[in-house]
Amino acid sequence: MSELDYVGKRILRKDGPDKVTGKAIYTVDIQLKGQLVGRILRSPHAHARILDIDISLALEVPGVKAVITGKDTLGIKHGFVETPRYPADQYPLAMDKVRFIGEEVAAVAATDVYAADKALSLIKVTYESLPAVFDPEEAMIPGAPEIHPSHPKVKEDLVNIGGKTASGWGDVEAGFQEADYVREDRFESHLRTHGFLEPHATVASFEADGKLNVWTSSQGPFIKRAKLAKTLGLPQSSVRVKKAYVGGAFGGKIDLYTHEFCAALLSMKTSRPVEIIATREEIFTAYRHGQPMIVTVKTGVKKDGTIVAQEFKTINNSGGYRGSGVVVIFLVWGFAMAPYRIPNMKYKGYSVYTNNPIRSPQRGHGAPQMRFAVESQLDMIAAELGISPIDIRLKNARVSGEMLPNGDNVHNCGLKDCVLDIAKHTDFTAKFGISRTEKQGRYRKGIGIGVSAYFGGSLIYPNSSSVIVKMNDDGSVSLLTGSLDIGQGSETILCQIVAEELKIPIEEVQVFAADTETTPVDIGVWISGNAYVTGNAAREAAGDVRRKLMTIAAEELNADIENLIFQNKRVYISGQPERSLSYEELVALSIQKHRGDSVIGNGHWRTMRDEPFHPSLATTKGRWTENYAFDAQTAEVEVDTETGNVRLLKAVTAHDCGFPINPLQVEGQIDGQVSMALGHAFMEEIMMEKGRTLNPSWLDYRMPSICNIADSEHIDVITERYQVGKPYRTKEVGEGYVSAILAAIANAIYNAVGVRLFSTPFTPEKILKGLEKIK
Amino acid sequence: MYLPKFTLESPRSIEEAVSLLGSGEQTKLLSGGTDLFPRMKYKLCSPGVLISLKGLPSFPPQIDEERKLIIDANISLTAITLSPEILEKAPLLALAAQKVATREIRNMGTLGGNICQETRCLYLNQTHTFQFTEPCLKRGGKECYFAPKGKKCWATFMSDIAPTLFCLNASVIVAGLDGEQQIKIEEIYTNDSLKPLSLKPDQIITKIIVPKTQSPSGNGFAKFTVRKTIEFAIVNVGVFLETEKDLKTCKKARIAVGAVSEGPQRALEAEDWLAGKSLSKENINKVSQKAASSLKIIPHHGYSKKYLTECLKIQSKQALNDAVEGLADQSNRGR
Ligand SMILES: Cc1cc2nc3c(=O)[nH]c(=O)nc-3n(C[C@H](O)[C@H](O)[C@H](O)COP(=O)(O)OP(=O)(O)OC[C@H]3O[C@@H](n4cnc5c(N)ncnc54)[C@H](O)[C@@H]3O)c2cc1C
Ligand code: SF4
Repeated sequence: MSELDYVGKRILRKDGPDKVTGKAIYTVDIQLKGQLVGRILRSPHAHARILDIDISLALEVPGVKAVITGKDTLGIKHGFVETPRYPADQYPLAMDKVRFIGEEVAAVAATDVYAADKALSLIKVTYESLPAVFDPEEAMIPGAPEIHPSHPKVKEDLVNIGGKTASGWGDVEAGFQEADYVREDRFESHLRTHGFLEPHATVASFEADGKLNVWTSSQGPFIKRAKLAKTLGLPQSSVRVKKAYVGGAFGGKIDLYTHEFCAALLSMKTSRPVEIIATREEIFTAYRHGQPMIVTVKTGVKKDGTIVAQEFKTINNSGGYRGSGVVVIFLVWGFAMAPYRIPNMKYKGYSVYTNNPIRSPQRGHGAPQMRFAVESQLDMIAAELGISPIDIRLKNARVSGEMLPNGDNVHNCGLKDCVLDIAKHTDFTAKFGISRTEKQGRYRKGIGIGVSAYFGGSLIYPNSSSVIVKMNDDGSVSLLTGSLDIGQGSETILCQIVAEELKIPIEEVQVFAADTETTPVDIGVWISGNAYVTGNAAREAAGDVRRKLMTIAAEELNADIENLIFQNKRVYISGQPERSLSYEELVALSIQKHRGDSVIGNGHWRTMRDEPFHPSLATTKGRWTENYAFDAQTAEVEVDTETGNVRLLKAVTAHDCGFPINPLQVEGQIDGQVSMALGHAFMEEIMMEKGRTLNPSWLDYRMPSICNIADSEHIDVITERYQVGKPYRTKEVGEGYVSAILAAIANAIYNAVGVRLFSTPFTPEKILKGLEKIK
Repeated sequence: MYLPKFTLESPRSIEEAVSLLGSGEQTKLLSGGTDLFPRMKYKLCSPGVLISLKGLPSFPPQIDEERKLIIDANISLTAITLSPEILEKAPLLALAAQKVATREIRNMGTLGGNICQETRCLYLNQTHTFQFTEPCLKRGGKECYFAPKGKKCWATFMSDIAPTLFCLNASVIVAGLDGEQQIKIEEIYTNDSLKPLSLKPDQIITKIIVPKTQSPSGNGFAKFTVRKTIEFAIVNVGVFLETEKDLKTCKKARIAVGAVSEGPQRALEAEDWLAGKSLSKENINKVSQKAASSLKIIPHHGYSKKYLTECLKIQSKQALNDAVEGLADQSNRGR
């Protein structure tokens, strides 16, 4: 087998120079002739009926070119999920009712922002205010204000249920009977936001020929095209979503957003390009954040720590529309069942409508919430049973080849190695064992561990990725992919794969990406599947080219295909390097002798290629993914017992991400996730009161700064291989590592000072309260 | 977000600035703009005319013949942290300036602007286009979102620097249509969140005067935040200690606290108690307790009163300890 030259190497990012030199063009940089500014009018009511909208005064403002309301739309609903069970539930512009403060009611296009805002202030909306409810547990109780009718298939005496996931196996009651120790705890996770630096931004330009060109800050152009076309009533072929650089997304830019729809419709109305850039305050107050969640977990174990039964109940606060609420209650089931063997399990999750802004995925999409609960409780159980946190995890960890209850196989699973390696690396047992009575003084240290597992590339529209690799006359390569690099480095790894398959310097692979018209379909850079799905598609496309080059070379050199070696843009016969042909020559020969074939390769890939559908969100039945990533993370913290401040001193991540295509990027992803989790743990919180955000700025919403970042170390647990010409199974690396570390921090705080935290964030105030209690 | 439209005036003299200021209601002084511009973007004020202080003659910090320190109100916070005169005569001021916001903001922000900043409140410091649309008391309305039952505004005054000027017994020179006057720093504050400053619309602070300080003295400034940078204080405490020659007995203490009330506060009770006592660990603990329990504390930015009291105790102790440690260094150097 030949050595790897590009894959598995610490190759610098393709997009780096553009970004560092300021050459990168983001959506806000797009300036077209005659471009108008769009602004959106939002509801000041958490829940109200719209009785009337009068736009006449707004239209008179000089510079205003168009005003649109729900009446100007086709009234076609959309949703993060659009399935028969969960049909679309949101109008792009409110029609009859508003269900959260900030819901979009009208939009204006004008020659400048002053005119646009003036017009917004002159739109007169008559509302009939309705009672509102913000807390999901209150919203579920019969008698609460009805935001939407409860899901017809949920037969319990509950209201405002957007969806329910129920699953299980074995017999939990019998399991609890059989258990030596049973405990139940409730954990709450708070509301955070993604914190991408580039705001939501869209430029839409409806051309005279009927084509709608769109640049938008997103996580993939194809889903945007599909939803824009649907809600605007245009054929998909009339909508072209083009590439612009994206300044971060973290789950917050996936499906259709109203500003995208409005920019498009305003452009259609005015025949001029329209730009809408959300203000940071709008993003904080009216856009989608992550998922706050209540997790109740009851666990029964044997004396030796073996889990015999686990029962879960989760409640999400989905906001005024479904958003990804019905997805997260499904996903957390998966995050509960993946890492450990649970012989008897019962799960129910409720997604509850409230009069809050809509929720979306956020990096980890439920995993931090679920792992925080399970891993915190596991430490409590271990302490009760006198078992070490390492042993209890090893006891229950899944191993290679294990089948999961949903029919998935974990394949090569490195979880146990992750736990063992990290314990050794951190000298966990010795540090953990220092008794609290020995810890004196103001600052006290502690160590904690958590584990997690994450899926990759599950089936969601558009379900597959295709890639085209073209040889150029000069022997260089063009790579056409619908994948969008949102800062996570997808273009770089796709180039590495093509470079490897074709043994061509990475600089000679040019990427053309993320244009719905000229590049092939792509699953998008979410559901953690790009490196696997699009990566394999790129490998196949490059392999296609490789085969063609090989055939011609074999003919011309009069050699057996097996004896041909690819190296540095040449093909030669093994042992006879003088008998060789350059790629340039091979392309010319192909055109000459293969009826004009200019050597173009196609590749496509799909997760679980024989599964027609994604799993049921309601019952969890059906396959979920074919590659699970596993990890163990430790946190070492220092608690200031006077102020209650906790500092994360060091995070270590032992990860089984399959095969790291670019170790540098893997480490970058891990470090980024550790710092994100640090923000989650200690400082970031959207403070809301009755549907209104109290801290809608970077100043009052505290993301960690460089002063807060902790040491982050990595341990590779490599379970897969990359071989030229063969499919590979690389696993997820972009989301899973925000999870275990959160639990590890909570466990480390307990180890340091004996304060057990049941809710995030771990504020100094909570720590002080806890310390006071145990004094 | 963007600024509303306005006219910019750049007077070349204080007199010209005063007369421009006094010419209409719609005028506002502009220094670094780091407090004013965000408020204008939020539409908390929309002055038609901004009178920039940037064009006025400026001067570096000076020590006059009476050993007083005279500082241009328009000095940037960065310049404060770098001035040898300030580091010598009023190091406490530099300690506080160093803790404000970030380097970029300190480069723009000025001393005058810092001590004249507006009070802050979560319900206030944002636009009100669809959230909190009904104006609260501070915006000319009738209700308060923060304490709905009362009829009072509770916005807090967050300057990090003002408390240290209290400690240093500073005064300000104010120029106005009625001429120039020197007033004690305490007097420019009203302790009214609605209008925290007593300055009249035509008045400009031109200079800050720090009187000759008794030596030996100790300085301490503690600012508590969550992320250590670009954040207003949860609470801040300035401490200035004058000691007897032994450097261990407190002759006079000045302790001032910011961010937890309508204006900076002196911890007078605590100060009196410490005077004449030894600066022992025990006494510092006690005086910190006293400071925390005797001062007014308004819960702000999501922090409860109980927690803020605890913070104040710890930060007072921190500032006092720093001051005492500084004294110990002096005594070591002296030897
Ligand atoms: C992100 C951010 C973080 C911040 N963090 C902090 C912090 O940690 N600590 C802190 O103390 N402040 C902080 N600030 C507030 C502010 O930046 C500083 O207080 C700064 O020193 C204000 O000075 P300026 O010159 O920019 O004031 P300006 O905005 O120019 O003026 C502020 C007010 O004072 C008036 N004014 C200015 N000069 C005079 C004068 N000479 N006489 C009379 N009135 C005058 C103006 O009319 C205006 O009303 C922060 C601001 C931002 C935006
Ligand atoms: S405290 Fe003052 S600024 Fe805050 S809501 Fe009440 S009146 Fe308004």
